[in-house]
Amino acid sequence: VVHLKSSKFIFAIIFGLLAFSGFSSAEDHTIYVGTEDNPYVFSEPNLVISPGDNVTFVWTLGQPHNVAQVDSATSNAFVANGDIVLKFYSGEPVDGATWILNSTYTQDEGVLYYICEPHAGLQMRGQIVIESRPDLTMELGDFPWLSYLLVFPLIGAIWCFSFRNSPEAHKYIALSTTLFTLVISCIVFSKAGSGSGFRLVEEYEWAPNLGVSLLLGVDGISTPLVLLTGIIGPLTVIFSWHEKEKPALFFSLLLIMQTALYGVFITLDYFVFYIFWEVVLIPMFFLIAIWGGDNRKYASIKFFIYTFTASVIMLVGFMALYFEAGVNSFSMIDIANNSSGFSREFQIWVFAALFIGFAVKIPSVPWHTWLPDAHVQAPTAGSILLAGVMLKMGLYGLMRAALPPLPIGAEAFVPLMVALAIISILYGAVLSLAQTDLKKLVAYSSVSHMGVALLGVATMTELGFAGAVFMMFAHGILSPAMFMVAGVLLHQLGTREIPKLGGIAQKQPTTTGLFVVIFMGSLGVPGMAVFVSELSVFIAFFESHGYLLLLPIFGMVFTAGYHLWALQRAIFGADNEKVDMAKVHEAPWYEMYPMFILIVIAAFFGIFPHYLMDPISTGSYDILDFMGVI
Amino acid sequence: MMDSTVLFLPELILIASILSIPAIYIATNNDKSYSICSNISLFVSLLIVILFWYFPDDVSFDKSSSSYVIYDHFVINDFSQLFKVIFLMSALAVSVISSSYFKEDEPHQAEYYVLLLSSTLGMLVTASANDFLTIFVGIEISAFSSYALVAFRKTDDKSSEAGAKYLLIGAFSSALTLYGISLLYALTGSITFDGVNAFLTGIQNGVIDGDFSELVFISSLFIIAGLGFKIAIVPFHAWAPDVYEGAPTPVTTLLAAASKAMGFVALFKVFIFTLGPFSDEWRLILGILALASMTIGNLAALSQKDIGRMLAYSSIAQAGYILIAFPALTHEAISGAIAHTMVHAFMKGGAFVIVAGVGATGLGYNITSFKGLAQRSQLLALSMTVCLLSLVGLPPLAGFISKFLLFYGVLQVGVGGETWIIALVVAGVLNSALSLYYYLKVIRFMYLYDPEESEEIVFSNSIRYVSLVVIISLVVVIPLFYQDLYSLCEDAATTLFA
Repeated sequence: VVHLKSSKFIFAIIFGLLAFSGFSSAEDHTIYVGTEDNPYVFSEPNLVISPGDNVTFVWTLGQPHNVAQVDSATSNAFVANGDIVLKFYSGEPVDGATWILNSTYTQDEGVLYYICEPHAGLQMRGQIVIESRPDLTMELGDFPWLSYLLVFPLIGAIWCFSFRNSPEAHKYIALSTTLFTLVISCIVFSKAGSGSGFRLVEEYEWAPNLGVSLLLGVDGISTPLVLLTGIIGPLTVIFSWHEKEKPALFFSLLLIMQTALYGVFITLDYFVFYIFWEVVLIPMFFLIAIWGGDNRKYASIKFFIYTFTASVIMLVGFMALYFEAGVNSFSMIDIANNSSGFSREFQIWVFAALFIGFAVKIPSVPWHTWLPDAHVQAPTAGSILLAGVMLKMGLYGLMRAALPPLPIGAEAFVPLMVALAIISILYGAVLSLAQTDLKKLVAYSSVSHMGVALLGVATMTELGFAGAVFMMFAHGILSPAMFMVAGVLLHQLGTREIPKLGGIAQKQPTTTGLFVVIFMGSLGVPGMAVFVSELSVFIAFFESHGYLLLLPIFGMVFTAGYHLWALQRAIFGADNEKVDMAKVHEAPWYEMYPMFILIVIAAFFGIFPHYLMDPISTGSYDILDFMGVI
Repeated sequence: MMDSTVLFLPELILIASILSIPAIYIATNNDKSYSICSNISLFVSLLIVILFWYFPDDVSFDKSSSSYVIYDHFVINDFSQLFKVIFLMSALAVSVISSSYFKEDEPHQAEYYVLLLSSTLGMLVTASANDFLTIFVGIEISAFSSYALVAFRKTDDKSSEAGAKYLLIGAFSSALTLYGISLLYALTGSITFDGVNAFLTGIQNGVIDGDFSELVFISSLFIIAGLGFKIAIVPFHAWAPDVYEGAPTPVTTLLAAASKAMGFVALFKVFIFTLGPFSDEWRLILGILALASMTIGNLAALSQKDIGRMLAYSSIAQAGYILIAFPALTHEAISGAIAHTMVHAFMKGGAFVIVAGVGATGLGYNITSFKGLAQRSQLLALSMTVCLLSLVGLPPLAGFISKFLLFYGVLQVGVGGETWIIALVVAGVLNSALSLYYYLKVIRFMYLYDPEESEEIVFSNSIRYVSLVVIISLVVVIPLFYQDLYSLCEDAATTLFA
């Protein structure tokens, strides 16, 4: 009850702050002559616009400048040295008057200079850079690596299921398939490198009349996620090595799930993207429904309906994009390259439709309620895939499918995104503090961590984007490790309730060592991957929103709190009478190694972040450059 | 002329079969022989329809326009042939599963197959009809046979009750349709579709003087009400749950898959082809009815306990989705509507085949009788799952493809300027999400619960084969070749806009 009230309080504060921070969107650009601080400067002395945009000059009200409006009746723009020069004359100022530089002067690319001489010897200068939006580019691959990513897990799934009567074969098949796809993922990661544009592009026609094709390609945003999907695959299989209930079906579903996840991350066609997006739901539904906990029937249906409802709205948004672009193609590249004519109203509506679809998947407060249910009820392997890879679909989709064609819509949604992100960070952290079920705690901490990533996207800066993608990767490594901790405890003691645990450190020192490192990594200790991403996001957020940063930073205190408190109560502390110490032992190899490998990866990318940051930065820059934000 | 009469061959085969089953009844006492006769005749007609399509030159079937038989009361074109394939396939599936549904000593089996074939014949006539009289006769042939089929189990109270309800409401709706047609006849002096269309176009173009929009409006209202009963849209839907529940399940399969499609065939012909020039008079009405159908259908389905009733309400909702193409009235939207009508026959028919299979083993028709079906038969459970998820419109199943094509066509009109049509599409997708709940309930019972009784239950082979065909077509064939499906539907829609 307490946390509900506090959440309302937080809502109120944040919306209040945002109302003060103010936000202007720029379809028609405005330049103020004279600012509040200095009447002798232009508000935006270095403006970048697209060809054909209008620029309005507005004389600030009540300022003691004596800059007269250009007389629009006379010739007010002339060519000097090959550039168009606007000249303002001194004279009687007209408060609040406007003058519009119309599109005839902004047709061609180039630079417009304008000069204003309020006094003799005092010159106000400014320039307008006219640049057309760059096109998204792509480079065809010479070898169908990306199709392999889709085909092999699927073949593995069928192969696995056909050996359902053999006692052992299916898990070796699943392991070898996932290891093989991991190798291909690494190849894709290194081949794609950190160059600009889409790499390794393949295109197969499916329905040319409608403009649907299987268009595959990766850039700096998607390669880390492809790598992540590859890494998580074999670890899930190893961790479920001793699955006893219908193991063949279990591993087949894991492999189908992996195919669909790869599909989401490498498809560049809205139609096919949507298909993979929804196909992810089916294996996940059955993983929760068949192998889940006691309340699995409720959780699986809630999960399915929640995410399906959101994504059908998203589908309408995709179709609207397709019609408005008018290129008879569902290709994300083609639609984005033809999106310059989208009106502001259209962009806002469509972005809203897409944002609903993505925000539920992220999940952002207030659409997060399916996540704790699904996580708690899912089997450990399901949780690992859900938290590790599936939660990344939302933000990835936002950056890939929604931002490039809808820059104005995105800009209009920045305040909302910031608010939701901050609320997610704080609310998720506060709720984590209150949980007694270890898995539920990790679920709410996911809400909080993904809030940080959403905050990074909402800054609309290169560093923020990079931090967000890095957070997706880092959280994709460390939250599966956290779920493995919960899984180990459940296997040994039959419970994940923190009050029923405690004092088990002495009986399993090595395992406890791993637990501690995982918790530290997840709370953001320097040297582990999560720290890098949090730092980048917070720096970017400070640059864009200033001291509003105090709110998310405040959330970090809770984050450290719930991690350490849970660790202290569940693992260390006095021996708990409720714990049957005879059952406590070191984790078996198939649980130990996955955790160890995840720690190594998290530490590696925490110490050498540039291996990931280089491609991510290029990908982020491409998107922002295309949107015309930088 | 001789050549064109060949185009009437599928119907002739059915008529021959209808006449020969009584003869077989007199000659032999073997119950199996009727179903064999019916299966063979349906299969041969299906084969012939498909062959015509592939070898149009040999039978002088003019693919580019339309071929006429029996003066010009019958028209053979892409539209009619496409729907004949659907009707014959559904009827064949029903005929195949009927033999396993009936007990060995079930009386009156000969009559059953005669009625099944004559109902199919009526549908074929409707698909080919080129004037109001023929379409009315076609609908009535089909409807009268289905009244008797619904009440086929005379000793079963529910079956008799359903038959009586269906007959009364059906007769009432026929009268309404007929009155609407007579008003149009009084106005235009013609009963052929081309004639009425030409007259109405003349009024629109100012060639014919006079303001007849009110008269057209009233007659469209009557026709919407009459045909609305056939396709079961709100508020003319009340009979559907009772009839779907009470009728023998194979008959329900026929009603849900083929009879519904027949209603839409009539609706396409009357509204798109004939009353197209006066679309302003009926667009809004159909839009509102579409919205009401999908919403009320889905809401009512949420709380149903009987699987037949649940699927009946889902059918009402699906009719609502298809109906949103009528206000949009573009070639793309109607192509999408045709695609969804076809795929709906597959998935709803497929679902009812499984219901028949489960019901025939004595498990009953409650949703809870599906408990643990996955442990009893993986194939049937998978097939039911595929059909239900396809009805939701989950990718990559066929239902998603056709629903996508439908919404795609309609949304194009909406984005093009008519914003109220966007609301119909948004309502459609939200309703799809809503419908997920009650479909998932069945899937949950099949996979997550153990069977209530552990006794071994054997499902008949015919049901298993039919459900296998349904799975393959919904999961593999239609999604993979949907470009081809779409061009078939586009060709069919072209004939409507000719």
